[in-house]
Amino acid sequence: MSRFRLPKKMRSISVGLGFIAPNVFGFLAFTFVPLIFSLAMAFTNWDLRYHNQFKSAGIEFVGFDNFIRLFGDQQFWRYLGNTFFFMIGIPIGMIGSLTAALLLNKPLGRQVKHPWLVAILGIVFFLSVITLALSGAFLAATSILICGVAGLIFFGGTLGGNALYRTLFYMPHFTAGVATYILWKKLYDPLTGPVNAVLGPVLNDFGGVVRKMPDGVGLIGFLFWFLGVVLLSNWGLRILNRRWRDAEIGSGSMLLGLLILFSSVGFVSAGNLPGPWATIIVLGAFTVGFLPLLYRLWRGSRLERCALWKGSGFCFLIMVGMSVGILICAGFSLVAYDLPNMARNGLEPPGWLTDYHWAKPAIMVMGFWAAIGSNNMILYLAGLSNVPEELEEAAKIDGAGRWQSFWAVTWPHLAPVTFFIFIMSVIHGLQGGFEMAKVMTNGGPAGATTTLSYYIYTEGFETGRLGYASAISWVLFGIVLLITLFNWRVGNRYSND
Amino acid sequence: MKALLSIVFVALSIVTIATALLRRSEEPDVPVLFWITDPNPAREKQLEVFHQWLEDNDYPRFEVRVDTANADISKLLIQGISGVAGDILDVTTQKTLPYFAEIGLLRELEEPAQRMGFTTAATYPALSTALEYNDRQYGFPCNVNTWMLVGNRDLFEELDLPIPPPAWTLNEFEAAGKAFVKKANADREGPRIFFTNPLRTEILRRGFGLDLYNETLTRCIADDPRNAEMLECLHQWTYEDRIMPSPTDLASASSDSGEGRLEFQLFQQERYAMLFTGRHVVITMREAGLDFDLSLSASPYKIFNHTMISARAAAIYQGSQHPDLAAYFLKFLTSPEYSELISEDGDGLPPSPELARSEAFLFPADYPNEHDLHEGFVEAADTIGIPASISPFISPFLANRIELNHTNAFTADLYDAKEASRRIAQDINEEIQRTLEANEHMRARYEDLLHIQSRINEYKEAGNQIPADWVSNPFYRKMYAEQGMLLEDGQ
Repeated sequence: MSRFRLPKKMRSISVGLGFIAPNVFGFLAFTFVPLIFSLAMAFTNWDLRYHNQFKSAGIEFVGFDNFIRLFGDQQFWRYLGNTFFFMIGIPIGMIGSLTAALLLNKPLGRQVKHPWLVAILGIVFFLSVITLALSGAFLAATSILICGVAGLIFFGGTLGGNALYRTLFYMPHFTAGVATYILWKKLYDPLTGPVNAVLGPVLNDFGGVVRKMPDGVGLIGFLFWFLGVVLLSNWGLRILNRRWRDAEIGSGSMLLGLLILFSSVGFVSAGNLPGPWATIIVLGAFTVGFLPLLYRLWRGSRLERCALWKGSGFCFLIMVGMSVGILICAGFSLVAYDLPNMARNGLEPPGWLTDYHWAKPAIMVMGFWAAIGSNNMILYLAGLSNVPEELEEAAKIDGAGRWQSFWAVTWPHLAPVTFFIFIMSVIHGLQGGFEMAKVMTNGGPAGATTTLSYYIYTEGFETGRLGYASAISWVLFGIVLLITLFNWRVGNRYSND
Repeated sequence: MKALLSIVFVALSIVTIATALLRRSEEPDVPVLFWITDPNPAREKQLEVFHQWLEDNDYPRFEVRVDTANADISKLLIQGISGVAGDILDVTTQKTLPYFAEIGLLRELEEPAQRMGFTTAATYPALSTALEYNDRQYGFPCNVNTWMLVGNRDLFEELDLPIPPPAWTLNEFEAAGKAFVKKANADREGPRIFFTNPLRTEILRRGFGLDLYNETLTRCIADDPRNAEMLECLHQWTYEDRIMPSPTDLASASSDSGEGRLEFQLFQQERYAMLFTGRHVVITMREAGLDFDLSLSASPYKIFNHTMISARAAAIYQGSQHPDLAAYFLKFLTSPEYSELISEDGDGLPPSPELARSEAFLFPADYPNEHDLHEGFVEAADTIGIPASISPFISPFLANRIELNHTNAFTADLYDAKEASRRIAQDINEEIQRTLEANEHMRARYEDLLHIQSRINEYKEAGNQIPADWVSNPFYRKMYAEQGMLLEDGQ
């Protein structure tokens, strides 16, 4: 009897399809269909309160109404701003991951120069902590515990070497998010948390020192940091001037950079500065720094002509970085100016998560901790293992120091990894913040820690406006897509270079 | 590989079939209903008594099981509109009852309530409007709460300070608070002792003679100067007089002790002289063996003495397969057996006012320190209790979030109390308009109510009495009645 048999190629295709079928069905059922459904929802007035199986009102297509409303929704812009604020920490987290990876890439353990010295130090550290605890010095129990763990880590590192440290650094990633958020909540405890337990006495003493200082110290501190604003803005102008002259950036890109730079300088000068003289300084310095560029523009003296938007990505990123630096310096200058006043009544550590002005930075710092010991670190470790040893050795033979070797050999080889990490971090940054907001602050105080993802949740599942929540989700998707395309266009070129 | 996968597939299929068969054999031969409620150990005991009650009264046999895993609002919402929520839902009169009724998740109870005797007349009169939505009943209370200040009488006596009175004005409260914190914290090292935990803004605002909404619940009137005055008052008590803890103080205490029973723990540790709470605090008190003598006071007021009355109510899910059986559970809530359980474990006031007035309830023999407590709670429910006012034109959760955000912004010095109040009113009113734009079918009703509101305003200006049925806001209904401004039906 002849049996029906599929041709061999067909058989292998059907076997292959059989293997991927569960995944494909899962993807279709739980990702693709809901995705398309949510896109359709974004164009409807679907509100759970009025459109569900127990209500007679039908769902209506409202075209772009949800999107139009969204662009006029102050809350949306505010929470988008919060989301971007948290993303300021991404570069810092990446530097932390890279530093951790570089450290963990060094041979440790038995290859440490003086392992027994480290081991003895660890034991002494740990024993002293136990002695302190036994003698009743429980003033900061958590600090004692942290010191004890640090002692153990020192000691353990001499035995376990890299493997132990790599595991410890990776811990934040495989610890449940909610558990770490609760832990950080305790660390940030305003009265009994270890952060304020350390900061309290330091600020107290520092306040005493500031009070004893002669008048005018605040002004000197202000000028010191304000100099940073002036220098950074002029440095930015110099970069634009030089790059434009050398035809590394086009005129459009230069103007884009100039606009970003001027926005931050303008923001600072319009801020709460001590007097009009400060505004005159910052705007005057900017104008003076701008003159050479203006002269060059007027003369049109360039080495060669180039495309209008050449180097736009570079200009955008560098000038955004400069602007962040300018704003940080401006912030410190204002703090320095007001310090004597603040110290008059004693300096106290903030109420971190309950203080409107501190809640965002507090959560951002927690994000650094999580970012340092995350997959990013593992990716950098993998990237470091791909750096050819012979190149490093050649650099060493040529007399390059550690720093030079890093910049000339290691860093260029890590560019593709850095690019990938940056893209993924930006995507996660835009989509993230929900768990933190839900567990630690409920989005407060006064919406200070509400991110777009948390806003989508409250609009969809508390207020019931599914159509509107879907529209926000798709706008968020659009933002992610745009930024990723931009990163791809700009970053890919640099990573390949 | 193919053989291995086939073996795994067959093994999984066998296990699935076996599990399904085993589950089927475990299924009871009576209908099973699910009660979505909080994870309170008392619920099991309540169900045990309920099943016995069914049997004793020869009612149909069925089983009710507790489901505590799905009590979260977002889960309830999603499951509810998907048609798979539990049969009996725990709802609160302040938020979830009106919200779920508006959404259509709750079954209207007029007919079964009349037939089986769990109408609103079977519980506290002040609660009747809170159990209704659009004049139709949707729930019956499992327990009832009136918000009062429970005081540590021993602590006041120890400091040689007068015991807080049953009712007090803002000035009396402030003076007593200042005197207390001054004496209690004199030469003290360590955490500060506060007069009370934070008072609730919605209750304090009413003490100023103002509610969040107008008489017809069509507009938020937080931009009234009295709201700013209330916020400034709270701010002063918290940050200047320090008679109440700030959010920072609370955050610290919360990470010390865990959120759930935080405030009670601070009261027990004598870091609060008074606790603004409902009678449900008795459960924790008894568990903790708290034995100091207690006093009871209402929230301070400027113009109008009142408190908030609320209930955790049971409602029947619209999509329940067994609404008739679920109605027996609501009937059980009116029974003496259930009220005795509530009375014993201290979980609020029992739904039946008769039992709440019994000697055994008011003066429990095992807890002499509570003897000044229960009568005050019951009396407050009867005399000064007013339910929350909920506008049908905005989700209570959204309104609450808006108010909280702006109040916090005021606390963070982002803007002053006046501006915070203005923004609360503006944002809530914008949301009301948004609801109307998206739901044209609500507009006619809204316009009618607006018309009534304008007439109310005219009557108020002319100093005339306002017909009672014009006023849908329970607060104004009660306040105007007491002030002689209300023209009751038939007058």
